[in-house]
Amino acid sequence: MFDLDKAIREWRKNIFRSPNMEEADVTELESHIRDEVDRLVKEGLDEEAAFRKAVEDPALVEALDAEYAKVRHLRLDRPAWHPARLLPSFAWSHLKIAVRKMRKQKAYSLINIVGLAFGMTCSILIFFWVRDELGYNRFHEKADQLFRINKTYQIGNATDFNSSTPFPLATTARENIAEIFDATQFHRHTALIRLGDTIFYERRICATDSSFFKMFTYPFVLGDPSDALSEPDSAVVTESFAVKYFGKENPVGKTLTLDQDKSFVIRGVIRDMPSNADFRSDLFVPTSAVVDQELLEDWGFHYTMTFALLQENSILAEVEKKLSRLIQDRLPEEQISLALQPLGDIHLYAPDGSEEGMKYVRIFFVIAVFILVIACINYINLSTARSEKRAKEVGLRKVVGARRMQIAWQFFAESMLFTLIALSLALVFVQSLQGVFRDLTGKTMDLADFEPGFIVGLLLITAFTGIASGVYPALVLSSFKPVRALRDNLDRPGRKASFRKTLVVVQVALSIMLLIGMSVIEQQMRYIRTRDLGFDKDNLLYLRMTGGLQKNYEAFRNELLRNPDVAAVARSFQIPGEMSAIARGLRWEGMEPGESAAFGIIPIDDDTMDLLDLKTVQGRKFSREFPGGESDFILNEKAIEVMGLKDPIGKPFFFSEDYPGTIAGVVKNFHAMPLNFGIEPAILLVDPEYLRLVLVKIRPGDHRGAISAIEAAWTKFAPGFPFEYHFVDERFDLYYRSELLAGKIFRYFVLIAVFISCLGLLGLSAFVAEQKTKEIGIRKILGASIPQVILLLTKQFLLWVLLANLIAWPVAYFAMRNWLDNYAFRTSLGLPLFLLSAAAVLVIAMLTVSFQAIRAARANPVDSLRYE
Amino acid sequence: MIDKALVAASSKPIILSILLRGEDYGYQIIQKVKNISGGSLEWSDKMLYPVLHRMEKEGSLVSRWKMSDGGRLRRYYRITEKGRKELDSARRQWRSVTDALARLWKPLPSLD
Repeated sequence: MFDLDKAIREWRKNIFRSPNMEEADVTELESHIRDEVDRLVKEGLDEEAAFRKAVEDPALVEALDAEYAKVRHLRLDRPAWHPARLLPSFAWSHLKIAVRKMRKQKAYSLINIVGLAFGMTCSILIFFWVRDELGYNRFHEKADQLFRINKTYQIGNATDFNSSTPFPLATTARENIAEIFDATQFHRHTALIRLGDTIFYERRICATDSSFFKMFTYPFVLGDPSDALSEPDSAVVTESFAVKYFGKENPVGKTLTLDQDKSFVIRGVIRDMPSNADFRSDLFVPTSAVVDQELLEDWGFHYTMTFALLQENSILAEVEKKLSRLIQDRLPEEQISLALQPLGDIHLYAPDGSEEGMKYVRIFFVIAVFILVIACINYINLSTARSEKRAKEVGLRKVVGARRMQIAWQFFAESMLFTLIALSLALVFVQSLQGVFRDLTGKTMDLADFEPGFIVGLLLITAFTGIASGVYPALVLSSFKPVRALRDNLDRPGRKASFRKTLVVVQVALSIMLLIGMSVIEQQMRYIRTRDLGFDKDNLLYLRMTGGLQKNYEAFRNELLRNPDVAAVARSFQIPGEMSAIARGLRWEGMEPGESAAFGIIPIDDDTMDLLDLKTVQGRKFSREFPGGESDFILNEKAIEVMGLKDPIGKPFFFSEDYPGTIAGVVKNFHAMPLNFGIEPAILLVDPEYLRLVLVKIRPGDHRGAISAIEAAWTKFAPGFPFEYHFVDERFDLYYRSELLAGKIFRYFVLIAVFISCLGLLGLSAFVAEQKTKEIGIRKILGASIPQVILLLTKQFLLWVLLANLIAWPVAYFAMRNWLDNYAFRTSLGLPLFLLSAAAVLVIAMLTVSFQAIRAARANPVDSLRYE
Repeated sequence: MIDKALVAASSKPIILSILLRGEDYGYQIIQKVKNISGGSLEWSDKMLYPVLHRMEKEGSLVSRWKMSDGGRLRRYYRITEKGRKELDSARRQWRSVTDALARLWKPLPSLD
C-alpha cells in the first residue's frame, strides 16, 4: 500500500539536505506537489504514479537547489561571497542561515549582541583582576618555600593575630632550626633624605638585612645580590628612584643621607617591582643602620616582619612548633606562638586566617557570573520569543529524527554566531576600557598578555555563553508542534511560557540583589566615615616632628596659636585612632597571680586631651593647669572594666616592674583603633620621649589661610625640612580604601547588570506587545482607553518584578549580614533599604516596559487587525 | 516549445498581471498560465518559485501563509505598489516591442 504521507516525508528529508532551502520553501514545494498529485489523481492516475510524476527526478533537485542558491545569494548591490570551506558543509549552511536571519532582524540582533557583549566584557575584566590578585607575590623564584612568620598572642582577654615580630627572630630562627635555610626581616621605615641639594621625606624605605635579596627575586640591574646590604652603610635603590634623582648618571657609588646624620652609599640598583607585589619600596637600607642596637636585641619589641625560606619537604607543623618554642623560651610571661603563612597567601588572607583580598576575589567572581547569567537569560528569552513567532509564520511541522537535530543545530549555530560577534565586540570594549580599569584597580591589563590561561579562560566564557544560550531554544523549540500552535493561542501558559517567566524573574532578582548589595556597602561606608569616634577628628592635621621643632616646640606652638584659624596645637606619638603600641608586664592592685595583661599605649602631651576633646568620666584629665607627671596614668573605661577595679582613682598601677604609678583618671571609651576592631583597653600618659607628631586643629571652613600660616611658622622653626601635612580624616579614608574601591567598582557592575536586564525587558515587552497586537486592536475598538491597554501589557511584568523581590530579599539579606559581620561596628540592615532598592528596580522595569506598551497602545487598531 | 529566453523574459510581467487580479499561490499561478497560454506555457515549479522569491526580495510582491479548509498550508503572493509600477513599465516596453513586431509581420500572411 502506497503511503503518500510517508513518501512525502521521505522526499522532504531528501530535499532538506540541500543547504539553500529553508523550511518555508520546502513547505511551499510540498504544497505544490500535493496539489499536483490531487490533479493527477483526478485525471485518473493512482497515487503512487501521480506522486512519482509530481516529484522531480532526484538529480534535478540539485538544479533546484542551485536556483534557490542564486536567489539566496542575490545581493542587489554587492557581489556574491564565497567563503572558504573551513567547516563541514552542514555547519556552514547553518551559519549562513544564521547570518541571514540576523540581517533580517536587525533590532533584535543588536539588543542580543550588545547584551552578550556587555556580559562578556565584565567577565573578562573580572577575570583579569582575579588572575592578578591570585598571582600576587608569586613571581619570586622560591615562592613555594617562602613563608611569613605570623604571631598569635594575648591582649586583654582576647587573642590577637598579627605579623609583627621581634628583630632577633630571623637570625635566631636560622641558626637554631634546621629546616629554615635562610631568614630575613624587614619593616617600613620613614626618614628625611638628603641627596645633594634635594631634601624630601621617603616613607617607603625598606629596612632589611643581607638575606633579603637572596631569598626574594628582585633582579639586579647594577650590583650583586649576594652581597647587597652586607656593608652597614650600603643601600639599594630601584630603577625609577635612580632615574628620578640621578637621571642618566650611574647611581652606584653616590651617597645619600638619612635623618641628617646617617650616610649611605648606593651599591645596587634593582628593576622596579612588578605591579602584583606587596610591600613596595624604592630604597633599601640595612636595619642595623637605622634601628638602635638595644632594640635589635629586644625580644619584647615586636616591630618587624620576618620571613623564612624553608628546605624542601619540611613539615610545616614541626617548624611552627620549633619556632613557637623558640619565642616562648625568650618571653616566658607571655602566651605567644608562631605560625607559618605561605607567601602566595599573604595578599589574600590575614594572619588570623580571615580573608582579605580573597574576599573580593570571591565577590567579584560571583558578580561576573551573575552578569553573564543575566546576559544569557536575555539571549534565551529573546531568541525563544522570536523563534516562536517565526514558527507561527512558517508553520513548522513536527520533526522526527534527523530533522529535529537539524533545527537544534540551527539554534546552536545561531547562538555561537551571536556569541562570537559579541566576543569580538567585548574585546574591543575591554581594550578601550584599559584606562578606566587602571584607574579603578591600579592594575595594568594588556590584551597582549596572551598566555594560555587567558585564552583558555576566554574560550570557556565563550563556550559557556554560547551553549547556555543555545541549549534551551535548541531543545525545546525543535520539538515544537506547529499545527497546534497555529490553532491555539501561543499566549496560553504552557511549560515553555512559565520557563521563560522563571528566567525573567531570575534576571530581575539578580539585579535586585546587586542593587541591595551596593546600597548596603555605600551605607556602611557612610556610617564608618561619619560615626562618632569619641574624639574630634575633623579639621585636624598632623605634622612630623623634627629636631629643631622639638627644641623650640613651645615657641612654635605660640606662633601657630597667634593665627585666628588655628584652634589648638598638641603632640602625640601616633595618629589618633591608630594606636598600635602595646604595653605588657602591667600590674595593678587586685590582679590575679599569674595573670598577665597587655594594654595599648597612647603617649600624648598636656594639650592633647583638650585638642581631641576626650571626655573624662572619673578623676582628672591631663592639661596645662594639671599636667601629667611621670607617674600619672589615665585609663579608658574598657581598661577599668578588664581590671575589674571599683574605685580606680589613686590606685597604684605598674606600667612595668620598674615603672610604678597611679591611676589619675578614667577617660570615656573612644576608638583608638580602626572600626574593624572593637574597643581595646588603653593607657594615656604624658611622655616627652615619645612625641613624634604635632597635631593642629584648625577652624572649619576654607583651610588655605590656616595652612599657609602653619607653613610660614614651619619655615621659621624647621628650616631645611620640607613642609608636609596630612589631614587625619583623609588618612582614615585610606583604611577603607579597599572597601571604597570595591564600592565604586560594585556601582559600575550594578549599573551594567541593570542595563542588560533592561535590554532584556525591552525585547521581551516588544515581543509581548506584538503578540497581543490583535487583542489590543479588538479592545481598542471596543472602547478601551490607552492607559487601560498599557496596563494590560505591563501587568505581567509587574508580577514578575514582585516575585523577583521575594527571591532576592532573603538572599541579599544573608549575604550582606555575612559581610557586615567583618565590622565590629556596623550599620543596620533596615527595611527601608530593601524597599528602596525594590522600588528603584520596579520603576526602571516599568519605564522600560511601558515604552513598548505605549507604542503598541497608540497603534491604529485597523492596521493590527488586517493581517494576522 | 517556447524559447527559454522568452519564457524567462515574460515570466515577471505575466506573474504581476495575474496577481493584479488578486492574490494567488504558486501552484494556482502555474495552472492559470497554462490555461491562458493555451498550453504553450507550462511553467515548472523549478522555474516559478525561484522567480517568485526573487520578486519578493526585490519588493514587487509580498507573501503570507494561509491554511486551507483541508488543512493545507499555502503561500499566497500579493502585488505591491512597487510591483504595480514595475508592471506599468514592463507593459509599455512589451507594447513597443509587440507593436513593432505586429507592424513587421502584417504583410506576411503565410506565417500565421
